[in-house]
Amino acid sequence: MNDSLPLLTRHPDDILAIVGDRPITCRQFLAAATALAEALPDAPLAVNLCEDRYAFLVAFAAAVIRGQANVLLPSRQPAAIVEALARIDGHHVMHDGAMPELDADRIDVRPFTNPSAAVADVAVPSIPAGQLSAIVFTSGSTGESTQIRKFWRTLVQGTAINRRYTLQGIDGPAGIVATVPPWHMYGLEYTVLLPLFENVHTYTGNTLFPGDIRNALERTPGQRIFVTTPVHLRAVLRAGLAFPPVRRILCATAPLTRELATDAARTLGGDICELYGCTEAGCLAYRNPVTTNDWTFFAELRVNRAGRRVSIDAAHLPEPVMLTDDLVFTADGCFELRGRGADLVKIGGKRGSLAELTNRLLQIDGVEDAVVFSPNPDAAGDGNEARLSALVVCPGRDIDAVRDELAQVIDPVFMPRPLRRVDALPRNQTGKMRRLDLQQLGDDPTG
Amino acid sequence: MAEMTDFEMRLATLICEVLNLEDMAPADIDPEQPLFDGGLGLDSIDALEIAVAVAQDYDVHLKAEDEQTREIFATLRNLANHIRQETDAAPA
Repeated sequence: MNDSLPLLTRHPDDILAIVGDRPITCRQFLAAATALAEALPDAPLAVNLCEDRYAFLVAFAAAVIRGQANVLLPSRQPAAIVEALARIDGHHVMHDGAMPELDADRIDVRPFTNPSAAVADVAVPSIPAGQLSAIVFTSGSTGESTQIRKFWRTLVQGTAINRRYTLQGIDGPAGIVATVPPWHMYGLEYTVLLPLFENVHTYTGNTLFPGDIRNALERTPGQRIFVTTPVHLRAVLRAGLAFPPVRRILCATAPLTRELATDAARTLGGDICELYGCTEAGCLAYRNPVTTNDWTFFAELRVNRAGRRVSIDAAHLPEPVMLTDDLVFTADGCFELRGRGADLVKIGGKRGSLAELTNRLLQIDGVEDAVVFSPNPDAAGDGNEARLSALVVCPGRDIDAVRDELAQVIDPVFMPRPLRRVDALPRNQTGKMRRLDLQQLGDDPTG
Repeated sequence: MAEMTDFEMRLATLICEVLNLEDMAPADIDPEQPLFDGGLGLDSIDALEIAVAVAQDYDVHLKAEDEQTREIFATLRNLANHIRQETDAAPA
């Protein structure tokens, strides 16, 4: 059994990232990461708040080299950062500029990410396989977020599994352009970890608008891989721009319809690999939505079925992972995705819990009762992601003031629209509410 | 609240439509208040939706990497002024 695994397995001259229109070699990256590692404050946890993808990559590697775990917060709202860090002992903060006032040791990584032209070879660090390397967060049904611990072995071996399904048939260097942030599991797997071990480089500039995505694709040499979500894919197609051809589209976070998938493949070229996964275990299954509805689990996983409850186990995972989605298996071991656990919502690749969001509302002064719900959960997919609605009982307070306070503590994608003030919630005798009643109250502008 | 021009009103209507801002009338948007970071509480997906709608309706393509984009997206008024500059044709 391997006691340690390398930080990366690529040649020093290989291109790891495209920063602006400038290629960064693994040699330059490694020099930056080792220098930053030496400069990091002492602490077991390194909160990685870097916004820029290259700064994030350098900071991520530096923490791992130094034996510190990257803490990847799910929300970048200032109040949410302050609150999350108050619950974590023994940390410092790595940032690249914008960040809230924090009572913590902090280090600006930008002086380390400026690539110098000539750098000497640095030995590739060996990382203990069992080293805690990242902590990611997921929303649970109880309303409290859960910490998921990622060991170096899990990340390295998970990447090797991912490559088998997502880089299949792609020979030679490939360039990743992603619309998903590196601090969520999907972005971490394909824009941070994959370039450390496979012959791919990642574009680190802005990819917010379709015009930026076109620039990114134009600046990406070699075969292009577009790592995205249904929301972004739909916007890209509607933008009416001409894009350089793409070799492969990876899409995750919400189901793609066949229409959108077909349209995307025709407009951007190449093929589509749609991925299904979860924060706890990373990517788990794939399908080509142009030709099939059925998902296939990665062969490296053991799938345990007990009735409708499904758990996943694998050599690289520290423990089995229970899936919260509703899977219906076909005779050949593939599955159809029928829906998500009722409490969990996913918007723009971000996962939230309705119970947690409702708790947030109830904590606001003057809010007596409240419910956050998904008015039309079946409308998700095809990029038409269902936004949330909320009903609030707050007799003494202005609804706009409640909205302002809520905006301080939740990610903007989860802001309920409408956020409607009502006299009472339609609770039945057991205190429960029917979606239909909620929808009627939510739809009624005079309610 | 600042007065809205006709063009700003049309843009406000477009924004309410593409973002499904059901509990907000276009006239409720203050043209000088921030659209993001507080204000309407819009997020990056909303910015993307607005950018695509502006591209479709006005053939103006916004890019996040342009230094002034943050400024352009700061308020409805800035966005309206930018579109009019880029098109030269859209009447006030």
